[in-house]
Amino acid sequence: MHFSVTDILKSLGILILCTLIGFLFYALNFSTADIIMVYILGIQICALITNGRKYSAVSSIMGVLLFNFFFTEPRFSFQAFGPGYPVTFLIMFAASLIASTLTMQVKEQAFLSSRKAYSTQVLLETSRKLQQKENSNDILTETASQMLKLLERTVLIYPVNGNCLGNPLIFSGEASADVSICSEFLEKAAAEWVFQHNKRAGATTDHFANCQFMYLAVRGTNDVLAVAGIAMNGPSPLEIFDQNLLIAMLGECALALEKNALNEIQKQTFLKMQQEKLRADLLRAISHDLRTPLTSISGNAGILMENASVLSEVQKQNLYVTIFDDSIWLISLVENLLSITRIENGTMNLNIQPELLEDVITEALLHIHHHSQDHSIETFLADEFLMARMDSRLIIQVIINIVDNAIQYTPSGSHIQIHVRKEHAEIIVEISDDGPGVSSEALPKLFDMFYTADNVRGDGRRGLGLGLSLCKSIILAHGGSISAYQNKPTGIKFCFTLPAEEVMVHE
Amino acid sequence: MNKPVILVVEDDKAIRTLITTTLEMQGYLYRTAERGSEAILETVSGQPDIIILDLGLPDMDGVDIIKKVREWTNTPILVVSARSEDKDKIDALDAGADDYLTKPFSVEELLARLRVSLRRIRYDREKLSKDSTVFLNGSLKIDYAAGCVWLDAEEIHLTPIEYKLLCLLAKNVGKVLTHNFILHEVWGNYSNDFSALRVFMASLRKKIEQDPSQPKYIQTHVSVGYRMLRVQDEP
Repeated sequence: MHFSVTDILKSLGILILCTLIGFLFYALNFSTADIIMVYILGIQICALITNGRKYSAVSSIMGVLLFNFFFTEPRFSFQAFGPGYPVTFLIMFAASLIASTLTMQVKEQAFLSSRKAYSTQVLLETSRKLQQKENSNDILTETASQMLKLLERTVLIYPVNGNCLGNPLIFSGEASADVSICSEFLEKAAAEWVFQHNKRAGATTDHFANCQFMYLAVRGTNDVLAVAGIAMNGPSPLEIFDQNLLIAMLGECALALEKNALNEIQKQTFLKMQQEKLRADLLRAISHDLRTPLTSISGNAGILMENASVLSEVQKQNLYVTIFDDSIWLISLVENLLSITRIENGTMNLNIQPELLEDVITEALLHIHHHSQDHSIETFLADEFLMARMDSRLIIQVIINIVDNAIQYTPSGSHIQIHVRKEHAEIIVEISDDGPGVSSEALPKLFDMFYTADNVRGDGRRGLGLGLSLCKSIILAHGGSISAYQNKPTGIKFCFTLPAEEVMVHE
Repeated sequence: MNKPVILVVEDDKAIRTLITTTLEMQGYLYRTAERGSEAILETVSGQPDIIILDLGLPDMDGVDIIKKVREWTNTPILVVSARSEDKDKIDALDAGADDYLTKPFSVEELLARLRVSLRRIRYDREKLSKDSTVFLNGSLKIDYAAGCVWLDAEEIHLTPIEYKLLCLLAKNVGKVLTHNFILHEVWGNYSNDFSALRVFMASLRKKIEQDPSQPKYIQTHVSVGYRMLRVQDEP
């Protein structure tokens, strides 16, 4: 049995105080019943302020003995002459014992309900905070910080990546303490075991008992969603109350994780549906647009094969040119489609490198297919070493598309100018023409998929309105922006930005 | 020099016909192979002067063929491929190919690349008999021994890195050098400072090209690398 010194001192103090009050009452000639009441009150107070029944029980006995010693005839002896005294003592003892027990129980009730309130509050707070988190990493971090708050022990969280455990996230009260622990093979093995068997393991359990952490599974409906580790190297083991709260908390965490996963799936399904729709639209537009040049190529080639002897040289030459032009058109369509697939797969497929704008523009102009000899194309660079971070192949495609577009929609003899300059951390490329231009309302629509100027889509009309919408996707994927303006005095000015690369050169 | 023999390795009949017809019209001799194994046999027995190699062959990976051929000959290899990813080009060049063409390519482009390679072999053969401490290309002259560069008999001042770059390109004239290769050779093992390379190449070009927008000596292959062209000697 363990006694606390402070509780003993408290009990003794109260008994001494009661005895002093007893003397006062005795001197004032109050009845002995009042003195008994004082002792019973004292013992009740004692039950209230000490922890454990033993103090109030001992105090009850002491109270009876003190009363007997000081206030019954003969005084200052444990003898009692009055015939009623044994009954008085017995009743006094019973009364003080029962009163103290009741007080004790009330106190315990209050303690339990306050704990319950606390745990409800912690759980509610955890749940509320977890609701707000939008990805699994945030959820795990929040859970861990709540656990840390509750237990004040180092907490490890092993997230699950696919079918195995990832590297642990460490949450420690003292900065950088215990960090080396999680690298230990044994700890990782214990966590792995928990993940495989969906049971607890580690310190204070049957499996891996010599670990420094106890590992608990964060259980979803079907499988383990993460593994939590709690440092057990502290002085005392976890209290049952804390353990239960912990398990409830991990339950909340599992719920939040599952909800998050569900949301993610929904979001992706939606995205996929949108992509599917886009793809279907694209496919329809492409197969339509492919037919025309293919018919022309195969038809013209057929004529050449069968009627070569009848056709004049000029006629033949015309057919050759048509076949060539149509195949070139198909080539540029295929280039655009390839770029679309690259963009669609997300930005991680981009091959971003610093490139000199001068090189990129020169390369792009080499690939301008249309009869550009009728147009004058000039390039103006504000500085010869302008450099931007880009996937050069895609940016070349952007320049080709914009310049091709300008050539297509302006009469021959028009001027196309490319200006490049640097502003703050951005490279700005402007491509302008002095053709007829479009109305101000039509300008923002230029980047819509399948939009073609005049929006006349007869079979004779070439040009899937794909080029400029692709330009927009490409520039956005690079973290830049693209827009079209009216060029003064006539024509359109396209302007796009790219993140500039700081040039640092040391010999 | 005898008429050069060109080995065309291509499994697609239409493209093979296109290439061989073009070669025939230009008066080149050619042999053909449809498979990788055939190509290696032909290279051994036929001793072609140039190899035009399609990367997508049914039996072997194109890069493996390049590596195998490079084990014993320096015959220029011109890669023709439908794979448009830069990585494929770079892999082929790093494996030892000299140049690449992406399908669809025009006939003129193919002929231009062939001429570049032919000039290179002709030069290589002449060089064997000559003193090689001086590099001559059109009006560009590098004296390796003195560490000097002249353009049209006028000395050009280059920074040490520019000089190193120029020598590297000159020693591999006609061959496309990838960025990684150049970085490795000039800056050493662990450098990947692509922007510095771009800037030095641009400034080097400014110094040796009369018209930098129409380069005569150094060709840029965007996001792949650079190449020095062997300039036709002025008559």
